[in-house]
Amino acid sequence: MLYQIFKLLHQMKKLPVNCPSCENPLVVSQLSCSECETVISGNYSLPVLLQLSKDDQDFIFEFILTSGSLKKMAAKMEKSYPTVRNKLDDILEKINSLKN
Amino acid sequence: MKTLLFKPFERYSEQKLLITGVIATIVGALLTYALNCKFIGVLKLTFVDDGSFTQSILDSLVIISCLTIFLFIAAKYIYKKTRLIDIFVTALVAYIPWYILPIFNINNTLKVATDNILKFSSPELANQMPLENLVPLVIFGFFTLSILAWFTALLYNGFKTAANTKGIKAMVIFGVALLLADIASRYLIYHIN
Repeated sequence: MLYQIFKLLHQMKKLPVNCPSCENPLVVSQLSCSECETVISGNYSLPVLLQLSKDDQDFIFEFILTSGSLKKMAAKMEKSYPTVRNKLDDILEKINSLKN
Repeated sequence: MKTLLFKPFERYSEQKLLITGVIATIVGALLTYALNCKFIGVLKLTFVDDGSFTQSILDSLVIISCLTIFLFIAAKYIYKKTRLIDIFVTALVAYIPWYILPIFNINNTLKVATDNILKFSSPELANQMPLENLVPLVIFGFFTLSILAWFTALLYNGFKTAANTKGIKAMVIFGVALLLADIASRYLIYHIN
């Protein structure tokens, strides 16, 4: 099941998080129901995790799938432990700067 | 191939690197002893007549220990989560290229060439210096520089991975730690002998 979710996430279109014109963060201004076509307009900021790159999101997802074990992740990604830990630290830094 | 030669620390687990490093250190110490060479510091190889395998192993231990201690202190200063094992395997694996250099002294080629050149070291005899002795030393010098560059690149990449570091400040700290390791190892090896 989790593998299928992961596969689906891989197949999803990339969500733009920054304006291609001025590079400022984008916000959600419209949500719609694909069944009844109800449309909600507003101004919602994107969750922090969605503001990360696709690569970083995949990493976090993999981190959850391995129950937070960097050793397992390193073996799965065929990378060394410090490389995986450094990647996690870089993501944490990005999250902290996005939160501020 | 580039990862294997310059950035093995990004890919391979510490167990694989540790086994490779330990085997290479033992083989390297054997080669150094068998080919009448001796490491008298992290960055210095010399030729000897009366070496022993035990001494060769001891020299390697001093060099690896000095590199590990100074680089670990530097890495901890930069990044608190640095693990000792990552720095230790970095020192072990990065030193492997140095073990190629003793091969140039097969049949005491370099020792004999150095001794012959030293006979003509006075200014009045300098123009009579035999060229055939100079050639192997020039080739050896060129390879030594290449090995030094390879070793430094490997060591820095390992340090960078272990200490999650980038930038000029980290490079300076790394350089200072390497120099201190060289000085400390020369002092220790000199006093052990």
